[in-house]
Amino acid sequence: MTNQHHKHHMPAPDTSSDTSVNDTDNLDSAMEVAPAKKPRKHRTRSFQATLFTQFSIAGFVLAIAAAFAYSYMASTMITRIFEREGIQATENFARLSELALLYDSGENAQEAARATLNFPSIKHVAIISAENTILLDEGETNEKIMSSLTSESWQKNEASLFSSNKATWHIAAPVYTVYNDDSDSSLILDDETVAETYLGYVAIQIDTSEVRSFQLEIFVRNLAVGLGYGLAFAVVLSLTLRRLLKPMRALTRVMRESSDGAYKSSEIDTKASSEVVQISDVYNEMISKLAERDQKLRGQKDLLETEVALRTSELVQARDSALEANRHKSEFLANITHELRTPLQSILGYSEVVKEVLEDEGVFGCDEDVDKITHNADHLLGLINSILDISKIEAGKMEINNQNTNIKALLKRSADTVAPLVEKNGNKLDLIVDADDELILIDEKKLFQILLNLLSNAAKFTQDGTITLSTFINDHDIVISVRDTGIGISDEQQAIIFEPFRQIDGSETRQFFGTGLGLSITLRFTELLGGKVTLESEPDKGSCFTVTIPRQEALLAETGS
Amino acid sequence: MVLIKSTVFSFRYAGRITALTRFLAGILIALGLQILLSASSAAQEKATPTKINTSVILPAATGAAQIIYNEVLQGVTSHPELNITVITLQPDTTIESVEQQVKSMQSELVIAIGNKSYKLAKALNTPAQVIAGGISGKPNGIPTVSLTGDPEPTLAELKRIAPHINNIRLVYNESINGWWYERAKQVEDKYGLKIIGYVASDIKDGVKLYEQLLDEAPAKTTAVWIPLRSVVPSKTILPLLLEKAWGKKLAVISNNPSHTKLGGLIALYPEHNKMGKQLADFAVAHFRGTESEQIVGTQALRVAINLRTSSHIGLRLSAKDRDGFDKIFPTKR
Repeated sequence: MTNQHHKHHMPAPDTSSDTSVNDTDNLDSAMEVAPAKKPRKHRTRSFQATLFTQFSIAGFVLAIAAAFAYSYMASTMITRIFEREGIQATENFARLSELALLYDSGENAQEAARATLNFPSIKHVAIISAENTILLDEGETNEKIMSSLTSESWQKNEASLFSSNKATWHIAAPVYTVYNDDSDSSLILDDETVAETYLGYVAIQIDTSEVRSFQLEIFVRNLAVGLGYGLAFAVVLSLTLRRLLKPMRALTRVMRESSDGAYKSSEIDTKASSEVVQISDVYNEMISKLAERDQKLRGQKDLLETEVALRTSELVQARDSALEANRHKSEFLANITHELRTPLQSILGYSEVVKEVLEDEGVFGCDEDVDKITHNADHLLGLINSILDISKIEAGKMEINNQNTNIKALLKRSADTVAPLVEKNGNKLDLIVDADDELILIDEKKLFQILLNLLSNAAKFTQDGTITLSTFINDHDIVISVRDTGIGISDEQQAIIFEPFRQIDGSETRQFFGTGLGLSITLRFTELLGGKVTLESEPDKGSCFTVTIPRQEALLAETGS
Repeated sequence: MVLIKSTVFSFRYAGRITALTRFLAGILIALGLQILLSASSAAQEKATPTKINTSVILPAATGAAQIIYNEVLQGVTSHPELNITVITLQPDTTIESVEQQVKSMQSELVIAIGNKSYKLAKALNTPAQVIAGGISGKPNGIPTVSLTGDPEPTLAELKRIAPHINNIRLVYNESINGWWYERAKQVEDKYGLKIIGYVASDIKDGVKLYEQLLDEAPAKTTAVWIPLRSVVPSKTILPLLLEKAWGKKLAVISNNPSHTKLGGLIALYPEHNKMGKQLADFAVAHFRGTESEQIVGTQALRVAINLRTSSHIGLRLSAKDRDGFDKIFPTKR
């Protein structure tokens, strides 16, 4: 009987099905949840091997156990038969020993002793009187039966085995003599005319080697037969299992090939067991659906790849355009601010010249106006500088210029710089510096700008309050925080406050003058220095900006400079 | 006138007094006769004695045993002085139930036939006189008619058929056969025989004594007597004994017919009906106090003979002699 396996690919699935998209989704999710397992690398025992091993062991064990049990029973029976024969021989000898015991003469039983010793297994015979006198003790062996038999150890009414060891049995039988007068019916009235008188006993020694060899032979033969049965059972079992599991193996082979993507269906012999046929049918149904889904999935995948390629192309183009535009914007801003600063410098310079000329000529009524020009020109210059900084940062042209800096001195300087602004709103500035006069390698200008931005913001948004500038320096970081008791910043505002050109709402813009670039520059500079800015604030209670910058040790060569 | 009247009166009364006297005298005579008759009747009753209420115990038996027990029982019941109730022992019969029956029958005498009955009767707690019969044991407090034949008929029979035999030898156990040996010794002279006993204490002793006896016994003129319940083992020694006796032409006599069958000369065994009568007589005599013997042998005996043995030892028996035998061996086939 042979199984035929027809390899064929499943028909192309109907991709126009309404459920194709959903099916694909389901498949994707299923694949995410349960990724396909790879075949086990370690070797596992086959079903056939397991069944064969277990049934064979059971069969052998049963066969051997049966052999043992039968041998045991046969041995017991043989022992019983030998014992019975021994007892019979002893009883016969006892009957023939009556005269010897009556006449106290062993010679009367010589004939009987010889006849008894003719039995192959009987090796020794003895006759012992009731007074424990040995009347006869004959046999092949030198061992005397009486050494193990005394009248105290054996007194029975019938023949029995009185001692035994591995090699010998000792059987003894009592000897009685009988007189009877009831042999004639005329004397029937007296039923006590029969009487027995105990005369002594006889004992024989039996060599049990014959019994043992017989038992051994039975055991060996039984064992051989048992093993033969076990072997035959194993062969039959093996053939049966091979035949039964052949369809299973064929099915497994088809499944394994299908797992490589071939999607083969199985054709099981109709004579196979119903379970295997069911498995095969279910497998075929499953593989059919799987092939269909796979086909759909492949279509979807191609579609998606095309879409993705198209979108990626568009995005790359858009990104490149945006980057180009931004670069142009930054370049433009850098150029224009540079161009703007030149006339502004001229305005400032000429304003000071005008003020000095007016002072020299004693015209004092115009001082205030000239100051306004100077002040606005300064402010415009600051604004342009800020835009320039932002532009440089965005254009990637801002450079870090590290140098040995005395942080304590820098802080003092920044405090001094913003002191007029602080006092203007009636505020108080506390400076807490937890640092020595040590030198740290850092871009001093940028850190100074950061401090100025934070302090001026605090001074700007705090009225009659306290501004605290505190610094903490450890082996790893420089931590600077600016805390105020001002108007505070709401959560919504905190989300946008670091974006460029963003300030708190319009009404406050009017109240608090500024470009909206300060915090943005602060954040960009801090990030350029490898640090970060954190903000804690609550409306009407104040704000705390904390700048944390990684510490770099001062360069030894420049320590002295 | 007065006188006349008184005289008339006197005569008148005198006649009446005489009639009364006669009446009284008649009554007195009747009473006297009655007394005399009564005395006579009592004397007559005393002359014919009353029957003795007797319980006869015997075991339930079948076959040959039943026939023998019935023969003995018939012999017992034939006794005119016994008013007999038979108690048959079943396997489940108890001593108490027998006692109850003996009491309810108001038995004055209990006769136990056979060994089983003897054993039960011995254990009875009853005021009745207990007599045993048909056992071969020694006297044991209960008056017994033994199953063993009285020696005298045996000696008479031996002398009759073998007059040349002048001595009888036997091995016996004093406690079992002693009484019987004494009885034999009492009558030996009457038949011109010399009885020599060898006393054996046990069976082994007996075996040796038989050997000695057979060695010592003079050939042809000696008879060897094997008594019942002797000390001869029947399976081993008896054949040897018979063989040796045969060789020396010794007459073997016994009370067991099977010995004769095996080669003995004669055996005298009980005639059971007559043994029953003897038992009844013995029981009544004990009850009346006229018998003092504690054990007696059976008097009425049958004779078994082995003709081959008799011819072997040289006896010439006439046809008339042969008619007197009850059993003859070897039996004709």
